[in-house]
Amino acid sequence: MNIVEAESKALEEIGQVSSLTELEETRLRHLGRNGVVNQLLSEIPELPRQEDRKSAGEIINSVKEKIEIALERKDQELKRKDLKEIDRSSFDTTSPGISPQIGSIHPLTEFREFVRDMFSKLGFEEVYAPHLEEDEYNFGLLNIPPDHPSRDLWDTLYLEDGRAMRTHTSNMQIREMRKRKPPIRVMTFDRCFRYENVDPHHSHTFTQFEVLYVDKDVSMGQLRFLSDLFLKAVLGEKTRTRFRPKYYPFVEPGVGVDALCPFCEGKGCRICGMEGWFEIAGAGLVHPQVLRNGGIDPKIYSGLAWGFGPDRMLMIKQGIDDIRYFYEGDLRFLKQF
Amino acid sequence: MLIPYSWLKEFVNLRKSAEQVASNLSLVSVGVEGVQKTGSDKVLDLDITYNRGDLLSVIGVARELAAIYELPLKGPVEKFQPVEHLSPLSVKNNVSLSKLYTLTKISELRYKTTSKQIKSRLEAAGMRSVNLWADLTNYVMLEWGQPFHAFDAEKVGRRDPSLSIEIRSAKRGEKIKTLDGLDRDLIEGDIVIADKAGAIAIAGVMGGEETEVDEGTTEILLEAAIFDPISIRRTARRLGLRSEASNRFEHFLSPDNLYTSLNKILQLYQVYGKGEITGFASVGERTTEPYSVGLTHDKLTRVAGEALPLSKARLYLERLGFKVMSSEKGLLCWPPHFRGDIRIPEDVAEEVLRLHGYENILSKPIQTTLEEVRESKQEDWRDRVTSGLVGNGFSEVKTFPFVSTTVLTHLKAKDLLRLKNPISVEAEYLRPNLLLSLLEVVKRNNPRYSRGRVFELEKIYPKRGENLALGALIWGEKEPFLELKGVLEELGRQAHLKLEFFPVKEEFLHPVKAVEVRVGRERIGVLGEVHPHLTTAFDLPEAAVFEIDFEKFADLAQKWGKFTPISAYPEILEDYSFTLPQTRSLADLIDKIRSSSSLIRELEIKDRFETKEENRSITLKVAFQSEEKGLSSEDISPLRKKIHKLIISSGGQLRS
Repeated sequence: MNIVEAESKALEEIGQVSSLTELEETRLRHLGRNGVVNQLLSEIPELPRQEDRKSAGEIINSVKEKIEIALERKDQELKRKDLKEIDRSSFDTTSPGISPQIGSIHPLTEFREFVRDMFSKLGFEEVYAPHLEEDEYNFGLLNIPPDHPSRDLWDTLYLEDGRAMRTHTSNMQIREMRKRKPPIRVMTFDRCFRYENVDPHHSHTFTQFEVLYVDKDVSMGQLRFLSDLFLKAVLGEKTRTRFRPKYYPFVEPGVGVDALCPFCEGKGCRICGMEGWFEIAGAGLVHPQVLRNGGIDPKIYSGLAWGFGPDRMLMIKQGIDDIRYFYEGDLRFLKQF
Repeated sequence: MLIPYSWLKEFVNLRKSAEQVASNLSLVSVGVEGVQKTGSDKVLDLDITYNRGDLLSVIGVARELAAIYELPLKGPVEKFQPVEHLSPLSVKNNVSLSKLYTLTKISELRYKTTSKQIKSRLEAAGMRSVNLWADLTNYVMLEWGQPFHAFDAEKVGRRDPSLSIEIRSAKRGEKIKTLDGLDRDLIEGDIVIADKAGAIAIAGVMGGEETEVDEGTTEILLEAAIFDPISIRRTARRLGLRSEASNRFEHFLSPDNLYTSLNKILQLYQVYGKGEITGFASVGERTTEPYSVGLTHDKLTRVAGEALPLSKARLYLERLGFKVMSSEKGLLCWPPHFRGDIRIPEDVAEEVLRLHGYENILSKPIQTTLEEVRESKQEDWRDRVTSGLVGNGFSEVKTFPFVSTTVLTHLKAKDLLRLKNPISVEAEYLRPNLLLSLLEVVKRNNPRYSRGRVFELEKIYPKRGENLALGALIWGEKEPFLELKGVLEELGRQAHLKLEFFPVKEEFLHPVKAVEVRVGRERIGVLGEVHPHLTTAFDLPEAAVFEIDFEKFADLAQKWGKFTPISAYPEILEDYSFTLPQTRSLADLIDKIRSSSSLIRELEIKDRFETKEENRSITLKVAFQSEEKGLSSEDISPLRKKIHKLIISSGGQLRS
């Protein structure tokens, strides 16, 4: 093949190219290491005359340049064309995304984080107390001596060794008071146990959240403040709180905290059982004897204890109709959260 | 407690509906379970708390309502006054068992059926009619809160003509046949009423059959007493005989109220039974010595959170029956005789606030000094590990703390903590690990979910003490052991812990695919495939599990890693492909290669094919890099040879 043929063949082929891959193949065929142009260049040394060798070299290089320019132009042209084609292409963007392989967090853990964040902003520190507890911490030091009739408030599970499965998170109260100096602001979110058959509304294993606040001048006013703050955060601005007298031996006064049903705003609906209110929390001012048992002088300090059952609260808030879902590990339930 | 509304109206002139009254009571006094319509009347179901024993009576609730609505209380209030000519009765009492014991003899009784009104009230209050004598005791108990017991005096006389009544602790081995016809074994500490022939009643709990009143009874020994509440409660619970009467004995009873209610019941015995009072005895404290509790204005303010005028407080207390004296500093208050629960200033403050209205308590923000809030490592790692596992596809579960006896064949009962009073056989023992709970979770979900990943971060209760454990389980995956090991290794990396794994034999784990997890010398848990005998027993697919002591993990974990400088010189990457038998340790080989040269910056498993056969194929990617210069092929080739040698000497075979 001579140089003229090589040039016209190359330019013709470039003209017919319709894709970037083809263009690259064409480039290799003509300008590649074993391409036509290199072939011709390699033949130059065979020419007998110096002038011929020189002019042949110049000609071939100019052809090479022309081919390169043609390739470059074609390249630009094809890229422009590609962009136009993207405009014409189609893709179903409504097609659902590919699910990442992630798990699920238990609703009680999610709730625990919510509650903890809220109270830690008020300076409460999270604490834990044993589940298997000495009678003293669960009852005796909380003003509930053995065989006292008020023990009927708690149906207790006992171990063979005499310890109780704690019936409430309040077993942390004496432990924390003895460990700390006022002001004391602690909270706990953990499990408790009662002698109770399991059904949609009862469970022998359940969760409690409780705060203990001991300082100078802690009053019923702060109980109201905490109740309002918390219940509005959980149930929404439409709720209100209300106190009723309630008896717990370790507080005086003791109150039950009700929340106005946010679904019917107190008119009475299916969710609140036509009551208009939910019994949500139990609270009170720490009994002076309990403060003394905790090593705190009730003449100087007073305290409040405030607690509620997260299981029940979530059931109300999320419309869960059976407490057992929390403890049975059914993935159909868990994967909803 | 059930109270017919019409009965309340006999004592206080209520003009509101039963429902409104119920609602007011629940906001000021005690919980109301509901209001039921029965015939033309309504019945209030009250949830009386331990401190308010005085409300276990129609009169008590009427008094409370009179205080709430500022209405006068109607009805009789005189106490029983024994007249001089009554013959004395022989009663021996021990005041530690019975604070007050009275016995009244009523003679020449003539039986008649119980009136319709009394019967219907008893029924509305949830009691059934027995005979006139017993019905009257129950009727007055419901109205006044004081229980009574009527003995047939003639029947007692047949046993013990001297009618010598003694209140004493039961003797060892003593027995009595109770009203329900059953023989009861008594123990020391039970209080009995006895004559010379033995026990005739279990005090406060149930009378004896032998001295029971019936339609033929013409002479009655009527007991009105206050027994030791703790003893009554213990006996009633032990015998499974809790009743309206024993319940009231468990609460505070007032001697003054006893005399008032005695007056009332004797009137009724005279009206309905034509009886005559012929004898009386009383041993013990006949009245409560009045005592005062001081409430300073400062105290009231500290409880309420705001300053309430003392004059107002005084009015509230007087409405509730307190005698009050004002002083400069505050109030001196004498509680009414029926309130055994008022002992300290806080109790008085509560009374003031109840009548003031809890809804009127103003919200008061917390004002305090800010203290250091210590961040708990355990809390911090709880959150990090939870989100780490959730990000790796695990669903968090929470399960019950018990192990069911269905898995007991896999456990030794002596290693477990047992409950003294288990609810059921499914909840008799406390779980020693999370594995069994997690297997139950799989059982619940399989085969609906043929594969899955779950974890639990909760307490376990091995005999050595309760412990916070982290357990994770995967099932239905191809290489469960390696998949789960990778997850645990990642947790270790996040905590900047060097986890080491050593083969181990564990009862619940696969005989070969099981390791102990250590940090330094400390064992923090185990990892392995679940033993085939367990997966078979639970009818489950292949599963792997790890369980670690989360308290140790969180304690050892390091939040902040340390930066290793990044070299400015280029790195050279090489792949090494080889096969290695399952009998040889890949971890050892990797460690040897890693320590074969300081120029090895990174080493990772690029590809592997772990077959069920003995040989697996592995490709390691090694990155060489120097901190001082760019590496040339001359630098690498001796290192490459060294690595090849290590692979071969470790039992591997190079692939081209």
